[in-house]
Amino acid sequence: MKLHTYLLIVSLLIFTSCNGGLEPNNTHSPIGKTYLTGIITYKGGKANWKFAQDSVVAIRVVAFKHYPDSSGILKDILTGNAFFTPTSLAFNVDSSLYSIEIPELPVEIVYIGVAQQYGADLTKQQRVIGVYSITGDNTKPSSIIIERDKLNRADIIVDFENLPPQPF
Amino acid sequence: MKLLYYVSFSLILTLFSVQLAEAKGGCVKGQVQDSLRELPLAGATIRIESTARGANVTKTGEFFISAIPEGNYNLIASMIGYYSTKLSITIKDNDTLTFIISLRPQEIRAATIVVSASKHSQSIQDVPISISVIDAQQLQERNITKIDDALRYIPGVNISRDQVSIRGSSGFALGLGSRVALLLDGFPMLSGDNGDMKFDALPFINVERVEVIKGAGSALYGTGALGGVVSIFTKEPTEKLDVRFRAFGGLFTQPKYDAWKVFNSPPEQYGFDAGILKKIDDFSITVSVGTKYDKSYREFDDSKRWNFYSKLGYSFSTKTILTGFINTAGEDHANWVYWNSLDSATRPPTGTNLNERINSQKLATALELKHFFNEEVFLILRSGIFSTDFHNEGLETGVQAINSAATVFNNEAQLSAKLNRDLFLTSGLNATFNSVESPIYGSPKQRIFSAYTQAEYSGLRHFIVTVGGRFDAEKTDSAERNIQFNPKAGVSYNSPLGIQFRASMGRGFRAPMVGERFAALRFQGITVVPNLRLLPEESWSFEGGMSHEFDWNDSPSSIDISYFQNELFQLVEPIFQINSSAANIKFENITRARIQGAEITFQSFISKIIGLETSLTLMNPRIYQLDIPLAFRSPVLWYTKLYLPLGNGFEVQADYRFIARVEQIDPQITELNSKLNIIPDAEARVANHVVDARLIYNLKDTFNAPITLTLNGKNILDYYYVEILGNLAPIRNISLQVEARW
Repeated sequence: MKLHTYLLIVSLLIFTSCNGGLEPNNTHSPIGKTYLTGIITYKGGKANWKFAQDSVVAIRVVAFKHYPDSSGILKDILTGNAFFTPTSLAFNVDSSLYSIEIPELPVEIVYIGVAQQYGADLTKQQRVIGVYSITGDNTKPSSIIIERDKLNRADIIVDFENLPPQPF
Repeated sequence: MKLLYYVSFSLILTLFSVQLAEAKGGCVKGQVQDSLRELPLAGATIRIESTARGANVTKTGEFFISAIPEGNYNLIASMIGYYSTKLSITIKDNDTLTFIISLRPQEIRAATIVVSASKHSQSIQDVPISISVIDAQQLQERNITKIDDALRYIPGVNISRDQVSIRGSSGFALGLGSRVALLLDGFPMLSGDNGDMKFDALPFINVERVEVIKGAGSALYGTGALGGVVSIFTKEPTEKLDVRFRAFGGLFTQPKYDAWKVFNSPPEQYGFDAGILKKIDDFSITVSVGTKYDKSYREFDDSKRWNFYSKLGYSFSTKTILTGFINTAGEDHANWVYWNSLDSATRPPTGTNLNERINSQKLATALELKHFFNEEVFLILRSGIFSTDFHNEGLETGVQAINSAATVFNNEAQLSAKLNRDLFLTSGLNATFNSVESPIYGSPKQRIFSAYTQAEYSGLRHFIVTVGGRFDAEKTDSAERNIQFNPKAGVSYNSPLGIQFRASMGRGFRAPMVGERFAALRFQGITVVPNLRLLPEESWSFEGGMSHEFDWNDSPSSIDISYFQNELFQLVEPIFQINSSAANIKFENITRARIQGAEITFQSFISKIIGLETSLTLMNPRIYQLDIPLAFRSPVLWYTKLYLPLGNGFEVQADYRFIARVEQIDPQITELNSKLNIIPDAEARVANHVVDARLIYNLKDTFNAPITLTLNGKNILDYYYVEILGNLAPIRNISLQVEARW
C-alpha cells in the first residue's frame, strides 16, 4: 500500500469522525448567543466600599436601549428597554466580572450602569454607582453597538466618592 | 616498507582503473546516503547482482562502477546497520547512469530496560505486567516537553487536567485522591493533603525516561498505587557538559463561536526552561530553571508558573554514591472552577470575584545513598520531604479562606540481592509521616509504616516467576487504624519463537486522603462534610498478555495484546445530600466496581516511509451491584501517532486521540443541577477527537547547529470537548518552540 493511501485513510478517519464537538446551546450555526461583557473596577479597591451610601443589598449591571427616565428600572425591563444581570454581583471586592445576554441584534445600547440596590424594594431603592464611559467622565455615558461576531465589551469604573448623575 | 606497499598498491589500482575505463560498456555512478539524515554513507557497498562487479562508497558518499556489459541487472546497495536496497537497471554501451540511493537505518533492538516494575533494572521482556516506557530518544524525537504530553498518548492512560487514570482507575474526583502513584527518581510526589499530582512541580527538561505501570502496584509502592504507577527518571550527568535551553511562544486561536470569544486578540502563552548537567570527577551537578505564562483561552483563568531544580551527586567510591535533589515550584493562577454555562463556556459564573487567586508553592527535597556491597547486592537509603502549600487571595469579606499546607516525610530502605544464579530478592522498609495544617482540614497527622519483599525466580527454562507482598499499617489521628497486606504474583514466558507471554495478579489499596476525611468547607454553594469513618479503597488486578517484535515488510514492528480485569472495592466517592436550597457533600465508601478490558498496541515503519504507533483500549467499567456504567469513564481509548521524516532535517508528526463519550456522569450531579443549578450544563459532553501536529526542523544536519525549531499545533481541528464537568478543554493553540542542546 502506498504512502498516500495510508494518509488518505487516516485523514478520512480523522476528518469524518469529528464534527466540531460541543457548541453553544440552541445554536447549530457558527453564531451563538451574544453577550455584553465587562469588568467593573471599584476605585480605591475593597476599602472604598465604606463610602457606599446606605446598605448594599445587591449589585447589578443594567444596559438600556433608550436613556432611562424617572419611571424606574422595572418599567424599562418590562418594556424590553433594558437588559440586566439577573443575580447580584459580588460586593466588597476590588473588581467584578459581568456578562449579559443580548437577544436582539444588532442593537445600540446607549446607557450601561452599575446599580446598587440599597433596600428591599427592587423597583425603587436603586442607585446608579457607575456608568460606562469611554471618556472616563461619568457624566457623559457612552453608547455601544452590540453585534454578532464581535467582542462586545464595556468596562466600568465605580467611584463611590464621585457618583454619576442619577437618571431615575 | 609501508610506503613501498602503499605505492605499489596505488599503482596497481591506477593501472586497473585505466584498464576498466578503456573497456567497452556502460557506467553507474552516484551517491549513497542515510535516508533519515541524508548524510553520506562512507563504507557502504554497491554491487551488481550475479556479477563480480562492485564498488565501495567513498567518504563523500560517492561510487562509480564502469565497464558494465550491456544488459539488465540488479544493483544492490548495502551496509551494516542499514536495510539493503535493490534497484533494477538497464545498461547500454557508453551510457552512464546516475543514482542517489538512500538506505534506511535498522533500529537496533536493544531490550528496553525498566526499573519501576521491581525496583531494580530489568529487561521489559522479563516483566510480567503491562508497562509502557517513553525513553530519552522518544522524548526528544517526539518533541515532548510536558509530562501530560508524555502521558496523554500512552495506551490505556487518560489525562484530565492533572489527574491520571490508568485503564479507568479514576473518574471525576474533585481533585482529590489520585489512584495512581507518582514518583520522581523513586521519590513519592503525591501531595499530603489532597493526594493529587502536581505536574507543574516536575522538572521536565531534565526528564530522561517515563515508565507507566498498569494495574495495582501497591505490593511495592503502597498506598496510592491502586490503578498503577507513573515513575519519572531524570537524566544522570556525564563528563560531557550538557546544556539545554527551550523557549516557546504561542497563541490560542479565537473560538469559532461568537458567544465564546472573550478577548479582542488571541490570548498568548510563553515560557522557557534551561538546564545544565555536568559530572566533574566524583561530583555531578544538575541545575534547571523554568517559567511559563498562560493567559488561557478562558477569561479569568490565567496562570504564571516557575520552577527550580537541582541535583547533586558524589561518588565516595565506585560502590557508594550519594545523591540529593531539591525541586521547588510556584504557581499563581486565577480561581477558575467551572464555566458560566455552555453558552458562555469561556467565562466564569456571573458575579465571580475577579480578585480571587490561588497561590501555591511546592518543595521536594531528598537524599539517596546507594551502596553496592558487591556486584550482586546493593542497598538504597532514601529520605526526603514533599511540602505543598496553597492559599487563596483577594477574597470577598466573609468568604471562607481555602488554604492548606502539607508536608510528607518519606523514608525508605531497600535491599536488593541476587541470592544465587536464579533468585533475585528485593526487600524494603518504609515510614511515611504526613502533617497537614489547614483551616478546612484541621491539623491531622498521618503515619504509615510498611515492609515489602519480592522474589524473582528464573530457574525454569524461559520462565521468570515473581512473587511478593507488602504490609502497610496506616493511622490518621482519630480515624481507625488500617492494616493492609497487598500480595502480587506474576509469570513471564519468553518463548523460543520470540513471543513473550505474561500473566499477573496483584492487590492495591489507597488510604483515604486527609482532604477526603477531614474537609469541612463551603465551596461554590456546596458544604463539604468530614467523614472520619472512611475505609481504604482496595483493588485486585488480573492481567494476561503477549508481545512480539518482528519485521514487517522489512520494517521493525511490534505488537502487544493484553486482557485485564480490575475489581475495585470501597471506592471513595462524593455523595451529595440535596435539599431545596443547599447541598452537602460527604465522601463515603460506596462503589464496588469491575473494569474488564482489552488493549492492543502496534508499532511499525510503514512502507519504510511513515512511522506509526497505534493503541486501542476497550473497557467495560461497571458498578457491580447495580450493573450500570461506572461514572466518568470512557469505554474506548484510541491513540494514534504518525511521524514522517521529510529529509533535510524536516519531520512532520501528527497525533490523534479518540476518547469515547463518557456514558454516565454521576446522577446526583444532574439532580443537584436541576435543583440548585450549581454547574450549568454539567451534562454537556461529547466524544473527544483531538489532533495535535507539529513540524520539526532540526538544524543539526543542515547548519551543524544543535538547534531544533518546532511549529506546534495543539487541537488543530479546533474540536470542542470537555475533560471534566463544566470545563471546555483547551481549544486550538499554535506555538513556535526553539530548543538548543549542546
